[in-house]
Amino acid sequence: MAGFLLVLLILLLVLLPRIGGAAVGAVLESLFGKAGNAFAERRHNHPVFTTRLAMPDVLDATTEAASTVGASVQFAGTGDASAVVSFAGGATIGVAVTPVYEDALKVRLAPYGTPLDDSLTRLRGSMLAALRTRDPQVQYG
Amino acid sequence: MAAKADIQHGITAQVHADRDSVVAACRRAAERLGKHARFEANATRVTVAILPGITPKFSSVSPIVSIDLRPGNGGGVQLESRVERYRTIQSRLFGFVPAGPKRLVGKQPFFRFLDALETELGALDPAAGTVNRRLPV
Repeated sequence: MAGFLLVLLILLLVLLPRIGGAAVGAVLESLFGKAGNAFAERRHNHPVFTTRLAMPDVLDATTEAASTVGASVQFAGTGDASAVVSFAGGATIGVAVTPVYEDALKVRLAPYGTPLDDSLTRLRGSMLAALRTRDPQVQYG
Repeated sequence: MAAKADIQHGITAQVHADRDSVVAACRRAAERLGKHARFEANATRVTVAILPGITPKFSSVSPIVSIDLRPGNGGGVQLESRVERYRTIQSRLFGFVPAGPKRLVGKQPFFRFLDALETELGALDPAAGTVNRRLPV
C-alpha cells in the first residue's frame, strides 16, 4: 500500500506536470513555429525602408532604382505616393510611400503575382543604393 | 522547420565591387542585429557570431556564420555564406525523452542577418551582380 501511494505521489508531483508541460510546449511550438516561419517569409518578401527624404526624392529614387536594375524592367511608373515596377518575367512590384512620424517616410515594396525569381532581390538592392545616395541614414528591415 | 534545414539557408553572390566594399556591406548587415552580433573579418573570410536572447551578455553564440570571399570571374568578389557552428534546443518528455524537432538557437536573428546581407550585397551592384538565397534541398 505504501509503495502504491509512493508511486501515486511521484506520478502526481513529477510525471503528470512534465507530461502536461511537454504537451502544451509541443502545441505552442508548432503554433508559434509556423507563425514565425510565415512572418519571416513575409518580411523577406516585403522589404521596408525608412527615410527622411521628401516624397518627390523617394519617387525619384524609385525611378532610378528601376532603371539601375536593367533590361529586365519592362515598365516603371510613379504616382503621387506610389510606384509600380513590372519585370519581363511577369513579376510586378508595387512601391507604397507613407508618412510614419515627423519628417520620415516608410517605403514598402510589395510583390504581386509570381514568379518573383531575383527581381525582388535586385529591386531591393538598387532601391537601397538609390535611397542611400540621397539619405545615408536610410533604415531598412 | 528543423535546425538541419535552417542551417542550409545561405547566400551566394558575385558582385563587381572591391573587397573592402564587400566587407563593409557584411559589417552593415551584421550591425542590423545591433549588440546581438559580433563581426570579424580577415583577408579571405568574414565571420559573424550571432548572440540571440534578450541580452547578448548572457547568451551563448549560435549560429556562427562564415562568409568566404574569393576573387570573382572577371573581377569583383565571389562570396558564399555558411553556418559554421550552431546550437539546438529540443523539447523533452519526462525531462529526458527527446520530443519534437531540434530547433536552431538564434533562428530569427540568423534569418534577419541573411535578409540584410542579401539587401546590402544587392545594393553594391544592382545592375550586374548576382545575389542568390540558398534554400534547403
